[in-house]
Amino acid sequence: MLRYLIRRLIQTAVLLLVVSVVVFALVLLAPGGPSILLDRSMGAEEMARMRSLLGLDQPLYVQYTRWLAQVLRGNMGVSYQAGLPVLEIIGQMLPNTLVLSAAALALALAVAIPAGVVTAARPYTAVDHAVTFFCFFGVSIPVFWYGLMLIVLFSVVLNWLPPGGMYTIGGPRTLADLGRHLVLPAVVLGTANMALFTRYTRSSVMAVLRQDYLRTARAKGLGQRSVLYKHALRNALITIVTVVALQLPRLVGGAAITETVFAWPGMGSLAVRAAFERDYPMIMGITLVISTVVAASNLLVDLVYVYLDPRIRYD
Amino acid sequence: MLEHVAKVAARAATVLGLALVLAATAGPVQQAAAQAAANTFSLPIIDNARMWPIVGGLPNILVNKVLYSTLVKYDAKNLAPVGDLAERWTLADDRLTWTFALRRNVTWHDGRPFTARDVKFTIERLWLNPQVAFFQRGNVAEISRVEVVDDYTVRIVTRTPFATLPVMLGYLANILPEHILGTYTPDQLRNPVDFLRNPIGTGPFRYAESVLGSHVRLVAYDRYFLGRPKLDAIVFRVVADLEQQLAQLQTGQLDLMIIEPPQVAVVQRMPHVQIIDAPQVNYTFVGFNNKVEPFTDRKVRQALTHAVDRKAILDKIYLGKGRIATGPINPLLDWAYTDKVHQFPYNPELAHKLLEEAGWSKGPDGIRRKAGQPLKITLDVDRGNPVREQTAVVVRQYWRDVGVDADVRISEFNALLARIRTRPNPLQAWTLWYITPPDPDVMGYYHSTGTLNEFGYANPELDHLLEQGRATFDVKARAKIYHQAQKFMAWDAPVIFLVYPAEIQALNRRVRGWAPIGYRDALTHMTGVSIGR
Repeated sequence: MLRYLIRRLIQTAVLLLVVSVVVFALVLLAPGGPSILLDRSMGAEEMARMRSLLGLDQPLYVQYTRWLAQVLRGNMGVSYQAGLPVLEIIGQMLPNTLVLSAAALALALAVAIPAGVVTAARPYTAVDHAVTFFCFFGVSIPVFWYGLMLIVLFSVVLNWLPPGGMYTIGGPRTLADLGRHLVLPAVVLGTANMALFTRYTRSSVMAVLRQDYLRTARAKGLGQRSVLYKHALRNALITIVTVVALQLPRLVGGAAITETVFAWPGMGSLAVRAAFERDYPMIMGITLVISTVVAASNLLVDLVYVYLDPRIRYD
Repeated sequence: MLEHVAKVAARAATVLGLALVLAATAGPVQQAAAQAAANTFSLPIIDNARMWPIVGGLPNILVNKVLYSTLVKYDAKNLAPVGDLAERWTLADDRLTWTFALRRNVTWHDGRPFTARDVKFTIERLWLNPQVAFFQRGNVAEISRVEVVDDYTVRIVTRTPFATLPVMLGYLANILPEHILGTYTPDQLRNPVDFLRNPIGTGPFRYAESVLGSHVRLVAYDRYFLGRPKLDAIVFRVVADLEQQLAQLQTGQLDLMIIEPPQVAVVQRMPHVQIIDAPQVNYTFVGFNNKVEPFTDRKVRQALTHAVDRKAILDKIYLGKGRIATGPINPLLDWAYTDKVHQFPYNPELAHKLLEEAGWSKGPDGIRRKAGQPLKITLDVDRGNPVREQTAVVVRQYWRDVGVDADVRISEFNALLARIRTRPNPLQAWTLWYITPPDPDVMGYYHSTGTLNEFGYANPELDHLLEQGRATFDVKARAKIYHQAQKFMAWDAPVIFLVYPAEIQALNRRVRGWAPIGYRDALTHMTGVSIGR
């Protein structure tokens, strides 16, 4: 197990290095350049001067080595746009994104698992069809439109909830205030996952229900509830865990569209602005943090499998 | 374990459901928002602001307008230069040495007095320092040195006679504190991280907090030299999405936003919001690359201008909000502006005739050719701005109507601008805008050596006029020179001057005392602004 872990960690490090090279090249070779160089009122001379002060006139490999050397010393540089250290900015935005993503994920699971189990137990009934319909609605609806409609309804027309942001600015930062701001984006972000998780739960519970050991369980007189939740769901859970784990990077990376539509101060909207503004240090910092989380969560999933399924062993 | 999971899930669902109900029944949000926002003016910025006036970018520029001061600012009525940190100024007989008398009651937000040393430091160590790369350096590059005469008198010497100096000292030229930044190394001056965590200015509002991705909040500075502002605070909310901005305008979280013509109808339906068509020193244009065929020929440039119905563009795309441009000098500068120039009314017949004269004659396919080469023009535009995108599409059609094989290429803004700034400029034609200092001096844009001259335009006659204008101090004589320059440019058509667009401001009616000019300048007149009921 320990040897496996060490091997995986080395693989992860190599992977991160490769990712950083590829992204660095892509980002710097993309047409356009940092917005701070492209101010409409900045002359060509000043632009060239600032370019060279930022080191952007150097060959790509020099720029990359400089960046890497900096990162290895624990410094991801300073954002062109905000003028603050990249790590400090990510440190402020990441918790916001985690709050939103966790709420959305909790909401999705809370609805999806019961819905999946219920529909699996009664396939092709009216309930199943209704849930299926909502699932297709959930995955098909364009997020920005859905978000806007909720804003129009709950903020503009009914005036129940704020249209965007995370706290009331200038007011006390209470949990209730956060909750009010959280509802709409969490619902929007949770809807697609809700649909996805419901479908996965349904199909994997259905597959398990056909197994012999469940017939045995029923034969020995266990009730439907116990069969479903104790035996079927537990065995179906391995698929669900995988699917949920695949969503983990998003938990950290933030949902670019949802965060932008709701002006949520998170990683997703940060990444979008950084990309538009060609804020190279910021883009690289976000990429590195997210890919680290992806790699770590994959590793974590493999380890959770051992716990959930005693047949799996790594040696 | 599974039962446990199910229980937790059920509990989570209940809690979330409760939260929803609670949130919904907690009463109108506006109440809470209104309480928090009492006597606070809120406006949007599309990204975090960097409160460092050495670099550009609209979010920075807007916040810096109220956080810092300039030596000179612009009058809210006619945009004439008036004193800000400077009380008055005089010019010596050598026409090079300017003496600025500074206000005596100015303090930095940390309480320290503002003096002439701050001015000298800002100009010499920041603006003119090649190690720092001040983004507006071009405007002040004529300054050769700064002398501190006494605490409240500073002498600024220029290399050549430079009539525009007072205007340029008001244009994005914030003065920074020597007592804090004086010890910084050039490296630190480029990335003043500590300073940005608590920026110190002399403006009417001082820094209170910045929450990344959310907002910057500035509060009234009690010892502001023109008296404490009526507002308690200004909040710049980071809202990148225009629809979200509209929603926040509707619900009262935002007091001001700048809209485009397509949003006018939506905002008109908001009873608590008024629309102000604010004049700005600007113009939109279709730029030509004057260095390449066929734009090297004045007749072609004139023909391409006559082919375009600018009146229709103004009425239909700008919804009439603005006026047809006659040159690069804005009518707001009434002392220097003239419309007694060649007007280029929509006249496709004349366009046909001019193109024929220039040797571009129609082939059987309707496309004009000269020496076998088709008249093919690609018009570049940036993605996302409805006015510019529509303009490009319409201009393409007007050009096609006179036998040009015209096409539109839409690219992302940074990519387009990077291409325009490439030397030599690889583009043929593009449509963009310029916002300029409130002065008729357009040397930077149209002089053959201008650092913002993206058109590759070079004409010795205009060069001479612009040089003369810059070195002439008598207003009447200056006006005469710029009238001549406008006549010349209108006739020579280095670009198609499209429209002087009004900035369409959507302003909450509860805001009182707002200066009805472009919001960049209005933000320098915030002390009298207040929030009514």
